[in-house]
Amino acid sequence: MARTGGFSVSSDAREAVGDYKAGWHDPEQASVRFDAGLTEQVVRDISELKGEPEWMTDIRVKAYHHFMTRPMPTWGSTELLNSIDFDKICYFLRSGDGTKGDWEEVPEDIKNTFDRLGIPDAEKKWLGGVTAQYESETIYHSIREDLESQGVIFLDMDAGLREYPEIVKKYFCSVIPYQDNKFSALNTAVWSGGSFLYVPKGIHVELPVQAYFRINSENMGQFERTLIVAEEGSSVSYIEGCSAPTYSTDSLHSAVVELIAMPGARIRYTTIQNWSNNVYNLVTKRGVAHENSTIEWVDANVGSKLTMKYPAIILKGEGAHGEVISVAYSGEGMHQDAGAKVHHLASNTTSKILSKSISKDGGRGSYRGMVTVSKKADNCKVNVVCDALILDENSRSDTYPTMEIKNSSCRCEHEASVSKVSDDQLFYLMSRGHSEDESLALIVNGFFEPFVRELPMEYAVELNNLMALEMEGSIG
Amino acid sequence: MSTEAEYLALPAPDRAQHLWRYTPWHRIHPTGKPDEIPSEVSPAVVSLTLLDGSDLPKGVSISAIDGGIMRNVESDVGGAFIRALSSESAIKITIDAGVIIEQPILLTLESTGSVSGIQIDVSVGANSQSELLTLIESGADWFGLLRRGTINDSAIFNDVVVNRLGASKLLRIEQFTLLRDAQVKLGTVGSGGVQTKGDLRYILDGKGANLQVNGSILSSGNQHNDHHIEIMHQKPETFSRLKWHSSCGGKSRTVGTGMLRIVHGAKGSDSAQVFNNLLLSKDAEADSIPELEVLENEVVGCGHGTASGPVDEEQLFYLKTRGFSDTGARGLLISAFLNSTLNEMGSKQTHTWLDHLISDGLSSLS
Repeated sequence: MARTGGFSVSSDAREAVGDYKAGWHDPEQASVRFDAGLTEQVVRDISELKGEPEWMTDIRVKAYHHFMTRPMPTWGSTELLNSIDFDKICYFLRSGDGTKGDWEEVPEDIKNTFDRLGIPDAEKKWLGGVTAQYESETIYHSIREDLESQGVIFLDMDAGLREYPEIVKKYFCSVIPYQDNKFSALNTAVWSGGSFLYVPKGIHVELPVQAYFRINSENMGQFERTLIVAEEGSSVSYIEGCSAPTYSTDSLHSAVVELIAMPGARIRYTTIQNWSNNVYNLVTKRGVAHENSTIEWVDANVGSKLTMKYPAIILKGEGAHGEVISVAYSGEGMHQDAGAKVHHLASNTTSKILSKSISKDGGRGSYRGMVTVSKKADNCKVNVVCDALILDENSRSDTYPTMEIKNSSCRCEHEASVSKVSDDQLFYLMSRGHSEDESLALIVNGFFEPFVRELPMEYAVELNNLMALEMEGSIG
Repeated sequence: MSTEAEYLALPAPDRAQHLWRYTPWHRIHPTGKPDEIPSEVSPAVVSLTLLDGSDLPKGVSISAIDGGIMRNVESDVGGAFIRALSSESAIKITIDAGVIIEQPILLTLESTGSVSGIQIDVSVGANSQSELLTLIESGADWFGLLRRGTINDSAIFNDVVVNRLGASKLLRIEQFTLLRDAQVKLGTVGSGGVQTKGDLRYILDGKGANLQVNGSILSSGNQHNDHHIEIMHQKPETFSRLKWHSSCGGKSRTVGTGMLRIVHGAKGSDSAQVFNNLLLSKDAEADSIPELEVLENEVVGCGHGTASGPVDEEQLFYLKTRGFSDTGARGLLISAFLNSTLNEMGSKQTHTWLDHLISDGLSSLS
């Protein structure tokens, strides 16, 4: 078995897809597939198909109109953004016949896909709950009984809306309104799937819960919507992974993730993004942290054609803490435009951003960040560190940090550096008997170490292996 | 096409660009209406002497230029605007090749009338050594300064621009090109004006060129100081350092945006930029965006940093235990903060002169 970012892939699958280890696809077997293109009717049809309440249909339609009138961003990778043809994308595709609670009931071909990706294996060993989404909807879902009995709700978002409409209505679009940006409007209009996680007061979910997102079809748009609410004094860790087949045409993944950490709560949201390099990954993620709560985004971007993702934290309550730790790998034909945003609205709030990126084979890695400290936020502390490695002469690295400080008691630091792998480091390792590739992989793993140590061990090992594979033949 | 038509043909700048994010073009425009070019423009009164007031030595000359400075930045709205309104007021300062001038040259620009502007072309000859201090003094409500400079091979050149305007707005646009082995220090001292927008671009276009850019910005009252500094490494083994210190008091706002770009092929480049902000009052604001774009992997180093914070309480306590009053101790620390960049701007003569110039502003802050 060859290993990929978090999961296992059989060797025959590897041969079929070349360098990208999750790039095979299954024959499409859709039970419902909408025609490509986006209209108000498509939005209404998605809502009707799901039997949603009227308020949700209304918000979808409003978001659709906002999406249609809102211009494309004029910053970032505008050339790639403007090349997205929204009329060629399929906005809803249902495979199978609903969410299963038993792995054996999942349709055979979909089950094989997730078996190849190692999901059931991971669930057995170290997860508190699992959601697997295939195309537009969740096909498998489970949660440990002990968590369920404690009142933890872990459902796919469609089921969450059906079973807990009052909670969803309260928090949906409360952190990221559909007017926030063009892609949050698109997601709100056509969202399908995603996770709904609610942790009651004082409950600590010891094992992480996981969601895995897979796009299988060509020209597919995946628009999952995730909402996590951690009530007072609770804690939870959520991990998501994603992959897609390698096609010659492009797919679009545009998710919205909203986190709400009530006083004293803690949410850690970990993403291992490993899309194939024909996927546009345009995601809006934001959390609100109330008094003395903590939100952590742990974010790895190792795939996609273009990623524009800036996990954000609004430190709303006094004493809240936010942390964003991210790594990005930009290979051939990839542009990782990732970063972080932290807004200090209350006093004694602290934040830390650590960003690491590697560019190789003509890839472009960009850090784009923003830290603001409001006038009323006294005694805040901010620390931002960005490091980048460029491995060859065709690649590039950019850093675009923004710091807006409106309070004189704030201590704010930012530092960034761009460098190459030093010949001295390589020479030292090679003089100790390592090959050039091994030496480079060791150096890269060391570079990513501050990030990797934040991952569960299984993920950390897989990420190291994945980076070692990517580094093969990088020097010379 | 006339210079007026050239300006009017340009699109309004997009605020998504960091250059225009904090000071949109209409805010720094003299009338606030970007499609207007004021018809009544007063020329700046120019004087060029040595710092001690004596006449210029041989090898330094000043002349008028017909048609103004040519610019090649297509989207340069500010430069096009100054060109359009000051076509009658353009001068060239030439420092001949090989000359060594011991004393700094002082260029005084006194603005008059309501709107005033000037274009200055600076040509520094190869292997020369000189210092140019430009003092912008009060008068007009709005002053536009457009500069272009070429620092030829192996020249050693220090340049300092001091803003001592009163209740005026200043738009300063400049582009300097450094050729092979040129060693240049460019300084900006800002304590005057109610609103300043600077777009300062430096191109390291010769192998081995060495550039240091320093800024000491003293903001108080309702001042708005916005400087955008772009440094482009175009040739191998070029070196640059940008150090920008701003102290922000009253209800002032200080903005520093930097762009450090190392193009493909500029191997062995070494560059760094730092923006430090000292926040002195509850209502002051400091914004920093130090950007990097690195398209070459064979670099010695490329980094940036920014830090914002109040006066260090421990340092303050230490000075007070040594007998300083609170005001005196604060004044000393602010002075030290600004002097750390002021010190780097040129010769000892230049520093003494600068120190004297900003002392008034410092006493008002502390």
